[in-house]
Amino acid sequence: MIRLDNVTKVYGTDSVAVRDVSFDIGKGDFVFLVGPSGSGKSTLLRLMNRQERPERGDVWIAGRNINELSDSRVPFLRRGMGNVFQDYKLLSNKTVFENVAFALEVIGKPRHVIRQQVPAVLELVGLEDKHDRLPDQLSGGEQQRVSIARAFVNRPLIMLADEPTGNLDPATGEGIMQLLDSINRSGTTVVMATHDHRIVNMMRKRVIQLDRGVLVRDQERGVYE
Amino acid sequence: MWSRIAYAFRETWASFRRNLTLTAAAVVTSAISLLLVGATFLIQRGFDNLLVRWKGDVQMIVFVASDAAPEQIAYIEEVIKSQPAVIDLNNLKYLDKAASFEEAKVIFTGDPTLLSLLTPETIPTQFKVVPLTGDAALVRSLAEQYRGLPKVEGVSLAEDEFQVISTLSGFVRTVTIVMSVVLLGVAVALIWNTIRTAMFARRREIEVMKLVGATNWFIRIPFMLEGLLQGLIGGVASCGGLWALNRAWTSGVAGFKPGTGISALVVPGSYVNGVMLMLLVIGALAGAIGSGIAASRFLDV
Repeated sequence: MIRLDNVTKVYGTDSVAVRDVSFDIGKGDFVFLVGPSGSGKSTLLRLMNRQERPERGDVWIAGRNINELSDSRVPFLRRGMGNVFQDYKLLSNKTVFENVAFALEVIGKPRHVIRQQVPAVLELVGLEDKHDRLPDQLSGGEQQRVSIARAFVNRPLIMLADEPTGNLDPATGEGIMQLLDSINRSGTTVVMATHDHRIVNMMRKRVIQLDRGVLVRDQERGVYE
Repeated sequence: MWSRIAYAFRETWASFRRNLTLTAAAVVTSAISLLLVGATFLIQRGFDNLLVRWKGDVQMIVFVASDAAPEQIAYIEEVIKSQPAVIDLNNLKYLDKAASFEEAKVIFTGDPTLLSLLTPETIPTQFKVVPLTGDAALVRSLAEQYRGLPKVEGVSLAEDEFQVISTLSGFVRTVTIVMSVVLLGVAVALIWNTIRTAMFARRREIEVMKLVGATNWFIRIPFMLEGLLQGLIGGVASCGGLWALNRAWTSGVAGFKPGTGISALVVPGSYVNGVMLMLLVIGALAGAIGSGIAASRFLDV
């Protein structure tokens, strides 16, 4: 589903964010990208959704080299991906329903599809009774659930999560992980960047560890070291 | 499809209301600049009317009485042509009654009283003379000679009527064109700035839109519509201004004594309508293109 071949990303002239990284992630896998701040985890996620392009190497998504994708085709690549962020990136002037519907609206889905899919996904994340709330009327965990609902409403093949539990207390973080796990069980490939030891050790999924942009460990059912 | 169109209009309207002050500034500036563009066209047309009889380097007009017999007209032509060294025979033109009447209709647009007195039967015919010499004294002496010919009603010299108006026309045209281009530039810059501010206010929304797979055109179109609307409202306001200006000018000119020639400065209504339509198109295009470029420029927020 996702393959990186000798990928190097340099910011500016000499700040190497990722150096010669290669790995393969299969369909339906759940992978943690771990490492300290600045190790290149977020950069890898940004390379996977074409927010960035590598200086060297290739990024393959579902059998296509996305570096060769024209700019006009990038939106269509992203429609097959969901993105979840540490700071949720919700629109504060829109309700829970509208935030989720927004993801379908901007890719031109008709109203009847929106009316059908949004309540279903809100039920999946356990927010069906809060659909008319504004984001600032919700707790952090609930806001992250809205963000996951928005990322998943289009039933993407891949979900990229950048520190989704970073702003949450341990119990709430666990709830979010259960949600991501159930999304993964439905067949979606999940790649999650984190430096939360507890969560990585609890889930026992594949772990790809980075250190100053270099891949130092790739382990099935791994723990945070 | 409908949901996309509805989305574009909803977002345009919301953004329009959100940036009301900046929008108002952009609309007023575009209205003023478009009004100046329109006024330039009207002034130019007025001067063209005034100068229509002198088009094509004509320096002298010999008016022939309307009751002149064909042989008398032929004699006048023969006299004029007798000096091929001084007169450009290739450009010597004779306007018969019908052609003279058509020309008079343009010149006396703003003087309906005088125009009603003229008929294709009573109007003098004319020879339009282009001299080869730049010697004003020589041209003047020729005019004197033609005045003495039978059935010549009069001879007009460009030097007397034309020079001042021509210089004035050139000056006014340059000033108004420069001012309207500068102001149009300011209006586009203001529209650009409004769109940039609107995009900055919505940068998070745009970021989310890009990440969930919205195309750049989908993001850009509401901003372009916003710019188009600003330009169009400016255009409508400028049309109102131009209409009022033209009306005041036309009634002002009507107050002049008939026969002063000022009446030629009145522009026909159909021409004013054409200019107004053009202002609407320029306003809408400048707004849409300016904001489209601004939106593309700031789509990476």
